[in-house]
Amino acid sequence: MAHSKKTATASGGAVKFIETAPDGSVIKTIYDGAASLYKKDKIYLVARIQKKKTVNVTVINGELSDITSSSRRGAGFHAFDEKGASAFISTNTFPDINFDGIAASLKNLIGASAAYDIKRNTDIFSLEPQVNIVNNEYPHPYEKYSLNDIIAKVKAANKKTCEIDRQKLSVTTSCSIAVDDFIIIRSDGTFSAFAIPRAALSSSITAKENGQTASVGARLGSSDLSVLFDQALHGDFMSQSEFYAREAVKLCSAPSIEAGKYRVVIDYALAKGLAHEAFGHAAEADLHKGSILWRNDKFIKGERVAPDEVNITDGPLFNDYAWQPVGANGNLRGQTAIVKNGVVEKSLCDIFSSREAGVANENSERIEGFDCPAIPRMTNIRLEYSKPVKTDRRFYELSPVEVNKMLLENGLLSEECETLLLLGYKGGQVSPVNGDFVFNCSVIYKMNRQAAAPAMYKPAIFAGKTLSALSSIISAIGPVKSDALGTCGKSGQGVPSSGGSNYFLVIDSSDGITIG
Amino acid sequence: MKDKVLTILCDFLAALRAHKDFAAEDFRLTSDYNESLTLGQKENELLGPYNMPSISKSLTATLYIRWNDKKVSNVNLNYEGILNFDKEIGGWREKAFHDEWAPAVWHESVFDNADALKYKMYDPEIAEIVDGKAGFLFDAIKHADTKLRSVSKLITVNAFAAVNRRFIFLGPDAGEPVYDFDFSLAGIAFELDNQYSDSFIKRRIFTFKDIDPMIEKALRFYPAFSAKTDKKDALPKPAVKSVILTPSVSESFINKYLMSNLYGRPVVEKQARFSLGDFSSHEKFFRDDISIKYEPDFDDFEVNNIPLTYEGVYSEPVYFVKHGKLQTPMLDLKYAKKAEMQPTAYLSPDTFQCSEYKLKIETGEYECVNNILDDMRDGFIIFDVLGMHTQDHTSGDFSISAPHAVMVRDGKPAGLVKLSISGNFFEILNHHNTKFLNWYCEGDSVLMKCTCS
Repeated sequence: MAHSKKTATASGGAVKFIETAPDGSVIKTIYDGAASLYKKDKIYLVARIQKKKTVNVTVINGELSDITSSSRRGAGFHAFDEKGASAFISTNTFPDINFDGIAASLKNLIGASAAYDIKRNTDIFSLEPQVNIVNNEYPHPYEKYSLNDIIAKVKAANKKTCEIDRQKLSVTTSCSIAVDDFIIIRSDGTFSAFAIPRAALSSSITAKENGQTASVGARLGSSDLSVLFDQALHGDFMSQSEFYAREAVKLCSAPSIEAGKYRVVIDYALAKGLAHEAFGHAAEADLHKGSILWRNDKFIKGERVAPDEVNITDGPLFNDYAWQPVGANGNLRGQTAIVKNGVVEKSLCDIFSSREAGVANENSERIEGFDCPAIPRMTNIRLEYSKPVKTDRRFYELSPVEVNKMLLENGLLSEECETLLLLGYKGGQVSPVNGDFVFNCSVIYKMNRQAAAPAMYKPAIFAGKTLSALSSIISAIGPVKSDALGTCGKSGQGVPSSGGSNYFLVIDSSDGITIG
Repeated sequence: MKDKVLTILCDFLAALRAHKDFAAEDFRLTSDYNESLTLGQKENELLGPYNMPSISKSLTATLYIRWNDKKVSNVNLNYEGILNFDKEIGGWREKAFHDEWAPAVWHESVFDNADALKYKMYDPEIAEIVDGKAGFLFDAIKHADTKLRSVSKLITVNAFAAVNRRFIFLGPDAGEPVYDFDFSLAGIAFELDNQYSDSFIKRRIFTFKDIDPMIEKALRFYPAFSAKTDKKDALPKPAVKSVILTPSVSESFINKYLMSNLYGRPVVEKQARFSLGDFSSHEKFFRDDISIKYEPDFDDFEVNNIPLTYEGVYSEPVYFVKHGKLQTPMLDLKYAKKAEMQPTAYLSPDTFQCSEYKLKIETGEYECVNNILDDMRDGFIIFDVLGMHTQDHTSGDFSISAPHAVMVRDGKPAGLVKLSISGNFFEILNHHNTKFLNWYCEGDSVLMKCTCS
């Protein structure tokens, strides 16, 4: 991987890129047009060009069921006048772009809103100009493999999962691959070009037995095709898929857990859900107001929300499913320490929200596509406990029995209440206003103080208050694993997200947390 | 581009049919041209860098090809791919595959545009707004903001207008579209203090009269959201209680537990509650007085009016469940073939660019929600739920959080509580105490008993 960070005045890289790029003449028209629009009309432009190709392969119960391919190209133009009124136009006709026509329409739109008492924001004018041309080298690039290689691997994964119990299981295995290229141009000479390829492999598993059903799933991803062709990562996926297939059959006859308060041990995928849904969204600066991280009209920087050992960090990780090194306004994005040693430190903000939040701009904005406005949002969020119970084993080598044993050996089973192990993240939702969250898991085990096999229960909702949950973290097991993936749907835009935590987090029983 | 779209598509198909590599026995091209305008107010502030007026224009298409060697391709295209398809056709061919269940291209024998347009789907007023006359959207946002200001500190309102043109070309010699529809969509949604929301959407531009009932509902119930309630008084311990699901919550239950188990793919692939055999033998799963159906209401501009599926199949009214007995899954062409049944109306977001399609639960009697409320001695109105998408639709079990439940005592709103509600939706639906109510329209909300804690 290599990238350059230069001021826009030293933009030789941009010129060279444009000269050699397909559709270079159109990109140059936009690059030059953005600069002249500001010079002539004092209209500041952020232009985003996207070229995306996808292919999805679906195998159901051993049969190739579908291959769907798509291509998508377009450009979005966000314009601001000097007083901070703004407008946005997108079109999927790129490279057939009538730049002058779009500029005229943007001016008209901005003009039409001038009659109203509108929110204005001029902070884009103070954003530092940059040139970022990001080139990545991946261990398993797309060019290295044929479609047949991919289909064979997906079929094999499906077959192996089905074979756990052909009579009782139905398994859909899908691989979604996207090659997503962006160019971002601003009136100040900023030029950023980067690609955010990604591949996700998933199994949706339904078990039926004696009229009862249970549905579970497995999924992992990467930027390149590592999730299919890297032995260790693909092995992790297969371990996950086969484990949940076995448990799904047993779940059909499992009892329900009694609703109540428990000490809970959650796996890293559920912890990612907690970090992303329950805390991360409140840390996004456009959602601060009225959230649990906003008090007395300001962001609660400096307040303690968790024990000393807890850190929450968001930022792009190379070859991760949600890897995105550059913000949607074109400037480099780094790692943001949202919570450091248990204390709120930084907010996930962009240039439009940082001043109001009273924090530094982190260039945390992202978009789903060229036709979407940029908003602050996470990439890879990790909730890390700095003094975990150590293990050198891989996550998928630790069965519920072995987790039970580690908890027992380290005095982490509660004497006052039962301890539950929750595995598998099935999604969640949160109210940023009061921090109420709900998550669902795939399966629950009641831990056993005599080290016997833990009893299995059907999944039940894990609900609570974000700040109660964070302050109740008392320990963790294993190193940080950050490959739990998802698609974040904030504001109707679906962008890849990922994250994780130590293998397992231990959260003590509290009034703010319930199961069932 | 709007005026050139048909020409672009016809030229594309002419060139495609003449291309040396296009060895296809049949194909279907479903294409949409869309223009939209959105704008909004976020937490009392009109427009701004996240809610600026936005115009979007796009031409997209889905191409289904049955090649001469019996392989099939499913390709999603946009403008550039249509114009420069010769650069893409090699990729389509490379991704073609053998599918035993790949359906033939569907050709309706008697259906045409005129049949479909018994109801209006296109409102020229929306087109004017999309063309830039956005004043009404500003006025509507202001109207909602002004009326709701007395009960809310932070008001978010978003409004949009969109016009579309849908073409369906059916090969192998298609030169002109078999179907060519103009349709439109407009809507407004508001959110109070990030915790109470409602929305209105139709294929015509909405009026103040349309949105006033939503505002009145908010004015009636939202003040209870801030009324303090003694938790012990509200629900000392977990108990089975009567709850009324508001229309949006009812719809989320129906979509999750009924619609998800009726789609052909999960039924046929054994990933649904019901098996294909259950439908073939018309197994009885529901109460005698419950039927579940898709039916256009034939009123102009209703979102639920769907002339054709995206595969070109006429969307006839269909019972999925009749008098408690399973009738047919919701079948697209592939799964109709695999199930050896007839294709049905198919409700998916890409059908006519809308995700608001609804199943209707038909039952003997619907009661007015206000009468039920007046008679309710002790219960709750559930205004929203968290975590519905995480539930297992196949089992019917639910265990979800209801962060905004209004306690009802002796027929009156008596404060807000946060509840967890749980049970099995199939069992609840079949219970004789469960009733279907009229809130905004027939049967759009549900009275049921479930465990509340």
